[in-house]
Amino acid sequence: MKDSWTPVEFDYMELDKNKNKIHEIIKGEKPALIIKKFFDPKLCKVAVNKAKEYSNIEDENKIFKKIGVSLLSFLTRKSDYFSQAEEARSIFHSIFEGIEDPRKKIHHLLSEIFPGKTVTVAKEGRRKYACGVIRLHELGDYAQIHRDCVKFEAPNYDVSNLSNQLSTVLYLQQSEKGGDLVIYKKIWNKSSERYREIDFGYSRKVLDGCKQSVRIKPRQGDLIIINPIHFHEILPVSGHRKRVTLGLFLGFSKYGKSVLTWT
Amino acid sequence: MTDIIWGNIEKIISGQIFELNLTHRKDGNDNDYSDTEKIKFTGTDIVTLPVNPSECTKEQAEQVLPGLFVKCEIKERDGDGCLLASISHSGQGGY
Repeated sequence: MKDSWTPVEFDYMELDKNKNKIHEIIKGEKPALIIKKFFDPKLCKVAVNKAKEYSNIEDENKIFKKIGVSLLSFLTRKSDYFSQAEEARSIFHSIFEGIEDPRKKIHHLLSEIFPGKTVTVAKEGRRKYACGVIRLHELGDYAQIHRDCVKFEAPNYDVSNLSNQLSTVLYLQQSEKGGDLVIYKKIWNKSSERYREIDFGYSRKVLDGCKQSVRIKPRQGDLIIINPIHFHEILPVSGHRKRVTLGLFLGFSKYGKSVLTWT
Repeated sequence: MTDIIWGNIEKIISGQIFELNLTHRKDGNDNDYSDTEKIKFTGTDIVTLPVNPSECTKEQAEQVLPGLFVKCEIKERDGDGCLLASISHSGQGGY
């Protein structure tokens, strides 16, 4: 039988006739939506050059270089998360100054994919969640097998009440070699926790019994949307050019009226 | 140096005591630990539990703890064989 668990790929220009395919991602019937030519490569270059000015910033665990705030680094320090999210807003404003802000373009895309729903950055009371993380993977960098599940990992944040978490990743710069995203046809569940690693992610044993995976290496300016409850990893970058991506999570409010984003 | 072990919380025995299935042990721990240990937690950074562990009810612990991957910093073993430890979130399963 022909294997149908392959990414759905189309050009941004063809969004109208393909936007319903997002439901195949939500249901796990397909591993990823690859929207090609989503963001102008020239603008990607401008953003990457600006981002380099901030690229000596490392995350708290020194695992990956990144710009922006990731909620799970602040699991037990909620007020720090919101104050740093505020600081990150001005950094992102500077990085995207003078060009189209890709985060706004992603929000616009989401409002086209989910017509009738309000698309906005998530809030908790008056405090706004962080919007966007730029991750820089250099020679040898990789991301161990993991899944993203705010519902389980951060029950003390309001976004944990959202349903159907999805992940969008814009490729601002692709690495010369390596840096592929691998998505496994295996979904996390609570029993997977026995395979956790101390610092980040899961041991490869968590994939026992998984027979299918896809390897994705989009081009600069492509946007991918995945259901991050599937285990996934980033293979080691082996060229000298960094892999630079902009990531955002999204989820649906109760009764599905709003699409809310955060990082 | 404090001994450290990591693992998944399996069975809740009371508001403050649970069974841990060990998955990792710090290199250089002074003592040996079995694959399953009883832990009595004396402190925690898990914000969905009461700040004072003695105020934690079995129901609260059962709601929050089962399956969680935690780090346990061991203080001592009590007369009943329980490890007295401070427990905290360990690492990230994703972003």
